[in-house]
This record gives sequence, structure tokens and C-alpha cells, in this order.
Amino acid sequence: MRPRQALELAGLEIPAGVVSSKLWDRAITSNKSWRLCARGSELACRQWQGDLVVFNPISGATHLLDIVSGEVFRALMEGPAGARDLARRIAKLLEVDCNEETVAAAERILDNLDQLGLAEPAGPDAP
Amino acid sequence: MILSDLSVAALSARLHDPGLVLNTGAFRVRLRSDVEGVARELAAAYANHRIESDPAIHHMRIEIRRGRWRGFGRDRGVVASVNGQAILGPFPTYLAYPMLESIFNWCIAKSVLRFIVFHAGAVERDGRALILTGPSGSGKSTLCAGLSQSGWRLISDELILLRPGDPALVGNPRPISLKNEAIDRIRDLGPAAKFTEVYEGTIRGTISFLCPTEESVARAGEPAVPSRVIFPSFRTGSATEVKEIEKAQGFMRLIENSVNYVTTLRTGFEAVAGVTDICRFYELTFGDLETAFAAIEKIAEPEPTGAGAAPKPTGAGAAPL
Repeated sequence: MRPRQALELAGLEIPAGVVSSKLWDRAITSNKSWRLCARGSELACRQWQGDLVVFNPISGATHLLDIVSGEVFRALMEGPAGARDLARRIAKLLEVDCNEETVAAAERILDNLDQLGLAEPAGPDAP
Repeated sequence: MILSDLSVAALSARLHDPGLVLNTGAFRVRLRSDVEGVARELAAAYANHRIESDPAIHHMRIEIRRGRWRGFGRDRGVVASVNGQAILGPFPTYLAYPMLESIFNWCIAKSVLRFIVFHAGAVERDGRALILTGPSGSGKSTLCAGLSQSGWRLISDELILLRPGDPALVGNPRPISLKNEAIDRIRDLGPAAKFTEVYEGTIRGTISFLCPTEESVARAGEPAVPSRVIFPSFRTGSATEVKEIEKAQGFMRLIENSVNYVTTLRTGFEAVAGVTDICRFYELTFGDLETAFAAIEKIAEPEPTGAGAAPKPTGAGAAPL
């Protein structure tokens, strides 16, 4: 895949001139699709006042997710999604503009969910 | 037949052989002992509990036997076994009864698979139960004991039982273990409080057991649906403070205090979620019993109903996904 195509897929504005490696990395990361590790039917979760409590049937552990992490988790329950898509959900929830900051927040949350064994990269480039 | 129908001598003989099957509400435990003093303490602590006629039908078998070797000077000590297997001892003979209670707790915590078990106490009044949970030393047993002497029915102390699929707590009223100053604080509440002997020099200091009230034992089979979960924290000299916490936080605190939640997997999750749906959660910091009891009475007040009712700060809104 050419850099230009990757950036277009990621929905990033293509800067004039040479594409920087940092921008390229962000484009690839943000476009990576994520999914839940467990099947939806196996998961158990409950929401009280925004906070989400999730039972992970794979690890047997129970996790408390704050309102933003819970929104990302619930989005992944609907199907695989990339950080950029999830950032839009976060922005809508928090009533802020979707920008690089919200994308970075979505990536951090996905990384946390990955460490908890709740989410994993999906798609052809998934490990 | 209840235990007080037997004389101490008859009880002692039955403990020797064939054993006594005590019904504590949730469990039938077959007790055997050849140790002097155990019968007397059981007669005091379980006076109102039912004893079963068939010794063969029981959930667990606990034996407190004299030790074979002299380990404490002239005292041969006592050894405890569960279902025929020695698991603890030798202990000094004068600690035979506290050891029996500890073994009973161990049996419930480690070998009972049909309940989700919490390190907590619970009391009930007017069909609404309060769960008091927290680490040892937080004051939950002292509060449970005090409440059980002032109009609340003891559901259980030390370990409470939740049956999957049913939010009602399972009654298992047993003697409440009180430590050090708490013994006198509860004695001060009135002459109705009946205790076993006082045991000094245990690893937990001085302990004594408060006998559950006759009403608590008689009504052990009645369902007790929880409406409040309280996390007490005793701090010497502290003013009494109450803080309501959010349900999701309460859920996590509740499972932290379960002794077998991790083994119950999704069944346990759903059961605790069911309790969380119907309960409000409070942190209670206290330094004296009088104001703590007053705070608990306020916490326990039902929500006003009808027009003008105040919205629940952490009320409905549970959403299974």
C-alpha cells in the first residue's frame, strides 16, 4: 500500500510535500481494526451511571471501565473498529471535536483493553 | 428439638457418639468432640438452634479431638478434622470452642460450592437487609452485633451467603465473634446480650462469641433481600461520616470481599450484579458505636415514594448490555 492510499484510508489530510514517518505511523495505527477477544455472547457486562463493569470469560477477571473506556468497549461489542472510528464515538460522547487528541485517547484505551485481555487487533495485519 | 432441650451432660454424651447434627439455617453440620468444655460452650452459643435427629444427613463433619502428644506442657492440646481429615492443630485445649468456630468458617469459605460467599455480616428489619462488609478490624461484626441487639434480625456474620439467581441472602445466624474492646461495648448495650466464655491470648487478642437472638435463629429461613451495602471503617477518635458511592464502585468493592467470587465466574458476576441493581452503597467511617448506629438507621431509611419523592442519587439506571 502506498503512503498516499494509507493516509486516505485513515482519513488524514495529506500534507504537501514528503510524508513524514510519524504521520505514516499514526495513519497505520489509527487505521488498524480492533475487536473484542471474547465473543459477545460470552461476555457479561453491566452499566451503572456510565461506568461499565465487564466480566471477561477468557481470563475470569472482572474489570471496571470508566465512561470513556466503556464507550469504546461498547462500540467494539457492535463490531471491529479502528481508533479513528472510536475517536469519533468518544468525541460525540464528550461533545468535543474529533482531532488527533481524541484519536490518541482512543489508542491509549485500546492499548489498556489489550493489556486486560479484552480487545485485540483484528484484520489482515493483526498478529 | 432445639439444643437447649438437652442438658450439658446429655449434649456432651451425644458429642462423643454418635455426634450432634446442628442446623444453622443454611447448613447441617455434624459435630463430634471428646473435649471437655465444648458441650458447655455449644449449649450457650447455639441454645436456640435446631438439632437434627438423623446423624447421617449433614453437609460437613467437624471433629474436635484431644491430641495424642503433650504439646503444651501437661496439655495434650486439641486437633480439628473435617470430614475425617485432620486439618488444624494441635491447639491449647482451652481454645477448642473458638477453633471449632474457625473451622466451621473455613468449611463454609472453602468447601461450599452452591453459594457466593462474602466476608461480611448482614442484618434485616422489615424485609430490608443491610450488608456490612470490609476487612477484619473494620468493625462490621461489632456493628452487626449491636444491630442484632436493637431490633434487627441477624442473617449471618463473618460470612454471608448468596444463592445464584436469587438476590435474597441465605440465613445462617451463628455466634458473632467479638474482639477486645468490642466485647464490653456490646455488653453495655444491655443484659439481653448473651456471650460464651471470654478467651484471652488468641492470635486475635481477647475474643468472645455473642449468641444470636432467639428471633434470629427462629427466622433463619425467611428471605432477606438486601437494600444497602455498607463498607464500615472504624477509626479511633474519628467522627462518624457517611458517603454514598456509585454502584459500579460498590460492585467492585463487594467482589473484593468475596471469598469465592473468582471461582464462580459468570454465575457470580450475574448474582453480584443482581444485588448491585437493588442496593445503594455507602462508606461509613466511625469512631463510636452510638453515632454509627444512628448513621446506619438513617442509611437504612427507605426511599420516599410517590409524588415529590427525591430522585435516587445512585438509583436505577442499571443497564445489562
